[in-house]
Amino acid sequence: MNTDIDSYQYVRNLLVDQFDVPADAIRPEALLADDLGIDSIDAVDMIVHMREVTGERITPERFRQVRTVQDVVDIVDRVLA
Amino acid sequence: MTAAEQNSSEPARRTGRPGPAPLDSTAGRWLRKAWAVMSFTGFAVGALLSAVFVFPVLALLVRDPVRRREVTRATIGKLFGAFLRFMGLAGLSWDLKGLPVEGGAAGSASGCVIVANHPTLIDAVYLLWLFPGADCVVKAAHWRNPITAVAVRAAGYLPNDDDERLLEAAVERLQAGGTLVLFPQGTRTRPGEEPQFRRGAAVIAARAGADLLPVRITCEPPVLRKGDPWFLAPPRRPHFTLEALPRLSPERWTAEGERAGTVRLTERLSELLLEAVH
Repeated sequence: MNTDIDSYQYVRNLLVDQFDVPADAIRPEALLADDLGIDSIDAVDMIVHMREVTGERITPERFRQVRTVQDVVDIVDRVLA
Repeated sequence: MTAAEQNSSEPARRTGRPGPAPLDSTAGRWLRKAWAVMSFTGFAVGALLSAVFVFPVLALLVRDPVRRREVTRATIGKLFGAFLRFMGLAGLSWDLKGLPVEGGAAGSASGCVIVANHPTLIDAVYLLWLFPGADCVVKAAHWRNPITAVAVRAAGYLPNDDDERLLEAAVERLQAGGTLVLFPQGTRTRPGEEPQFRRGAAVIAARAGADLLPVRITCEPPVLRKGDPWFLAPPRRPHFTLEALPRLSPERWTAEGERAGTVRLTERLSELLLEAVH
């Protein structure tokens, strides 16, 4: 689906541009914390960025369930749906 | 380097009782057990009495929230100081190096983030005694605990339940000239484990344009560690050393990007605060 590709691109660009993640490390199943070095401050900054794009507040409780890149993409999709 | 960064030759200020003396007789063992029991009952009784008679009365008398916050924090500082002196009578001793900073070599702490390692249960007691006006992050559960709720609410401390709000509030308080006490390792050191410093303190300081003032805490022999049973009597009288280290300005670290800079700054803080554990 088209929106899915866009969401994935968005999350990928966000990780590379804002969180110093090497582009070739990003796969849908990559673990944010263990594989990509995303820490709790990054998680807050990601929520803020995503809110700017989607216009909706993603609650910390919801974001706490997130483990992989695909989980973030799913949240973006659900918010935009 | 500013003048404040060159303060390491400041002579140690000795407070409390003189240094540790070995107590290995039978009487000594009983005294140490009494110390453990006394410290806990002393703290519990003090907390209970203040929860009933001090903080609710203050909250009733001082209606203005800003003033109430100041008075409550000053009172917490005094009560913690009294508790430490009470423990001093039982043999707890400490050295303060470059502390308190007001009027000391490190200059005023206003607008600074005070970062410390966290070896024992009473580190925050020392820091809130030494920096009585400071903000600190308190476990959100204390907002609902009947013993602590009135005091933490009136003092306007920062609850740790929402990282985003915490980050925002901490930056705002610093920019308004406040002082913030943080333990970058989040929780006490577990014996035998290397504590992991988190980036939050460096990020908060960077975003607020505030300096970091590291305070290194050591306790010999170690007491009141994470996982220690509270009735574990120390082998000797415990002696604390609290040392203010030269300040760090985050802007020197974040010129090439906040994220990479605060990662390196956090590593530096970890080196400074965890080295020389003797």
